[in-house]
Amino acid sequence: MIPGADRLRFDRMPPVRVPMRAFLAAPFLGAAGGVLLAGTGPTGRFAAGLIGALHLVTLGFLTLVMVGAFFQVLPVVTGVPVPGARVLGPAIETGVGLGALAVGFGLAMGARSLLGVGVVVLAVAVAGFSVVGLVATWRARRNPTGRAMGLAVASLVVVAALGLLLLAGHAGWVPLRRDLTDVHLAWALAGWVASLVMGVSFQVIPMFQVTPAYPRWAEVLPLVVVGGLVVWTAGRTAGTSGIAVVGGGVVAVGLTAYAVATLVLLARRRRKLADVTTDAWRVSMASLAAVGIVGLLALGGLDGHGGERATLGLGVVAVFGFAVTVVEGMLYKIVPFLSWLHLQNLVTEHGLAGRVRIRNLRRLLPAGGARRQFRVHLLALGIVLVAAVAGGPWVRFAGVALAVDFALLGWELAAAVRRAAEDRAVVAAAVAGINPPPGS
Amino acid sequence: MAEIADFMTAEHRRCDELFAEAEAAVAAADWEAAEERFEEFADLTLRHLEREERVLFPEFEARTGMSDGPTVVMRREHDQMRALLASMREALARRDDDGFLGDAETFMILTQQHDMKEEQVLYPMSDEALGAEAPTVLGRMREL
Repeated sequence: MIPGADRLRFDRMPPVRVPMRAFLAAPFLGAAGGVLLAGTGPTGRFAAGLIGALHLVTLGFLTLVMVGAFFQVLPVVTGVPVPGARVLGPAIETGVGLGALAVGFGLAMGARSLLGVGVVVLAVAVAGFSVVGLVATWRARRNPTGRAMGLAVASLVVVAALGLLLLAGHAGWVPLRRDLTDVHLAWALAGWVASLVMGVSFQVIPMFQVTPAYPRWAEVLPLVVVGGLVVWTAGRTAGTSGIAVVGGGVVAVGLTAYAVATLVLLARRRRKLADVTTDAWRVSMASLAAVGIVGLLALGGLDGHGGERATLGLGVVAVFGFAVTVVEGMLYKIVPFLSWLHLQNLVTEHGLAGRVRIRNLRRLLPAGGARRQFRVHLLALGIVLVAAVAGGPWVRFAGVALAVDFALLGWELAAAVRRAAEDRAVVAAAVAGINPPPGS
Repeated sequence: MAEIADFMTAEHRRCDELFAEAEAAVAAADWEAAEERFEEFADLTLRHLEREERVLFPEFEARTGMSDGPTVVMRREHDQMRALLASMREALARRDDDGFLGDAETFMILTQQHDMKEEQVLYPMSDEALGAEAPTVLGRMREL
């Protein structure tokens, strides 16, 4: 056998339930974040209700989907399975989901014991994920997507370590280090989320959209951005603002270059059909470019003193405009496809091809439903942005908008899975027809 | 050193372009052009599958000793692609744009995740396993 051949086992993909349960639960955790925001109506960047709601979105929605997708996407793209996906996958997802709920509500309501439980559960789940994720991406390091995903997991380790230190501060176990909040936030968005999105996009944009490949220089951007983060963090920690500005500049330029490269590719797409996922990529990349450019101007001191409102607005564009939009766009495709593939494999396995018809992707998740949800998402994005700048009653209104946005997404995805279950019953009946139970 | 990977990857992209043209023609309800474009696309796709099933996969299995793993999954997905192509052809004959575009979307996602596995892993490994014989095997694939 030739070296590495043992890795090439596409028949050892994780069972479909591993990513699927994460994808179906995540929107409702995001909706819980909206409810929390509407219920507490926080004022100010460090208000407990805002930090709690934000973490239901970043951990409960974004991280939960990203972890589920990681188990599914890495083996498809690189041929390297994530060790223990079958057993550890569901355990890690349960830990991230429950941990997000406990941390979100614990923070918002100042419930220290709930927060303490959340901290422990999350720490165990993220540590487990980081170990298997780093092992798998190290084995996949020859692939640009594998390398970007490795940088994403390494960044998650930094995010989690700082997050746990901050949470321990909120729980009253150690002094609260507010000065670390920005470092935690930067590694979460530019390291964990952006590296993973970049790695996945190197494959999915050219292939699914039928565009030219990413230019070679774009493939090193995840390394450039994470390198910039290291320099920025070192500069800040050492109190050397010159070094911090250089590092921050590299991060901002790297993210902007990536977003622009992606927008250019999308403008050259050969598929001409209007598609919600494509529109989601466009909105997401435009948001990322905006964050990069404004971040760069802020570093140069050109707008400089916008204060807390401007920081909040920038955070909204980064979290909801860039990250949430692209993840929602991908879920529209991956959930019906996994349902379809699972059914189609059952049909093939039982020799029923040509005898049983199952619904295609558009019938599992009709484009009209996805389009409606996407419009609601754009509206919610606008309302949250206004709330970040105007504050006051807008904040509760933004919470309601977010809750509706996420709940509608969850509803659409659950409907696709319900339709697939109907088809599965038809397949099961056909299987029983060819293999009648003994005695019938 | 990457003869097979380069040729087969380029053929994937060519199939994608033909697919996009057929899809666009159906979306524009230009049925005559759609049929022409679709047949061109289906023809190249089926020939590509043959190149793999009749030449590449048997060689890969013989060289690596893996006859029950990756190629089984690849062949199963090929059958699923053929079924979708047949369904798309039927929809085209019925002038059923919704049915065609739904099957086309399904075909696209199935095929792209399939192609990723081939391009990132199976083709490079085939080139490596075949070594100096890769050009000869590629020659046999191109004859089909």
